[in-house]
Amino acid sequence: MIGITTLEGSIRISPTGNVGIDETETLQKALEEAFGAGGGVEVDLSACRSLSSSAIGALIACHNSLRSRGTRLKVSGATEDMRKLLRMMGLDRHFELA
Amino acid sequence: MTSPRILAVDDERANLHLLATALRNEGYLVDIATSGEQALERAAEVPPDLVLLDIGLPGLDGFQVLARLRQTEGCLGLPVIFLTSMEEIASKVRGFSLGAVDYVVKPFHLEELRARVRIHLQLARSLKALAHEQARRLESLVVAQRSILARPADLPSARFSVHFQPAQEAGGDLYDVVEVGPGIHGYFVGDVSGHDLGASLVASAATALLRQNSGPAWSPEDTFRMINGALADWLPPGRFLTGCLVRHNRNTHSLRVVSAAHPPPAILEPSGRVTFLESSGDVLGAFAQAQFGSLERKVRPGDRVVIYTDGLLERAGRTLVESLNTLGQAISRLTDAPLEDLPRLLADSMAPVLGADDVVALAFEA
Repeated sequence: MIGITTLEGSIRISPTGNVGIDETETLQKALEEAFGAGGGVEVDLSACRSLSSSAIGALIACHNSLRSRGTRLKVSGATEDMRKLLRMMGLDRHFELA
Repeated sequence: MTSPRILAVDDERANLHLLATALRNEGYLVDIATSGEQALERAAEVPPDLVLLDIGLPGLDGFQVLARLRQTEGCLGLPVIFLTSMEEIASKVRGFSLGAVDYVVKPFHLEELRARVRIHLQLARSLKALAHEQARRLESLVVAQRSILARPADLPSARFSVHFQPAQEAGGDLYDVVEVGPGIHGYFVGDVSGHDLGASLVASAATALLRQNSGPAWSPEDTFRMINGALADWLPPGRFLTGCLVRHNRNTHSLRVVSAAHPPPAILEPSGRVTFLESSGDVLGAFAQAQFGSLERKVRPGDRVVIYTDGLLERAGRTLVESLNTLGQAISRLTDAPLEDLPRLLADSMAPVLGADDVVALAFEA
């Protein structure tokens, strides 16, 4: 399940549960559409238990697209374990962690 | 072609202006900063092509500035030359280990500094071109590389064994062992994101790049920077790999560990004590500029090092901390196992989970 919320100037994407191979495609589409809307993109991980490597790849791809517009991917609501994962992967240096 | 941009940092204004003028006369664009904080601001605004950095600065000193630059996007691979009156060996070593490319002691001759600046700008440009060139030729390299897996029998001096269990035909796990020089070996384990045919292609590409960019003149960090540069050029968005490279020097009994967002390798001492060697770094192939930390330690004959992929860790527990604990205990129980059986016994000692990932476990003995 992926929730999509339109905020002022950005779009928030909230994947829930375990984002495996099947869910990654949906996540990727949601990220691409959010980027296409022209504003910021926020990924809310508060209800997300795990991310597959392909899902992380989709986040990085979206971040790199946002970089070309001078902004970054915003990641919010990461649980302690998810934060550890993002740190181990060095992604805390790239994404904007809220 | 636009002129290279140099950021000069010194709290002594007279020196700074002299330096800036000399460089501008050579045709460079020069930004100046008189404190560490100001240097970081300038670098974040407009990333320079090279930094001349004083060490004794008010506030953040030169070492701290370099460490922070290495965390700043756009400045990760930036050549930094220390320009300082501190001539102690310890401070030189510290500067180089933080990733400075050169160290010039004041007072210096402008002519010498100009030459060093030129060399390092050319070097940075050549490395970029080399990465680009390797990316261009990668397709043909991949074809040549396929089906070559390092076997323990072919490289007995490396004293390693490996357990490689792809979950699907098109797996993304990989390993390789390369001879860097007499008595020096590089052990690499990697994991490509995704599980399709593309993943195994990327695995072959990474192995080819590893072999091309290993040698005494390359530090493990250099090797990773080159692999990253070429892959970032070549890979489609969203594809990346994690990896760990351990270089073991049997002449000096030392290990150097570089990690690209990979789970930490473990060292198993004959007493049964297990320590994880944690160093942080970016994933490979996702970012045009990436940063790789390294860790060095001494080993004794009989010590063993275990490098593995995420698939093994997933079997060990639900959270990262829990998994590492369980894995550490499992490795410790194998203290007396023969080296050739250790990786397989380790993988077998953990029950596979449903829909499990590939598993690589590689062990070598010092």
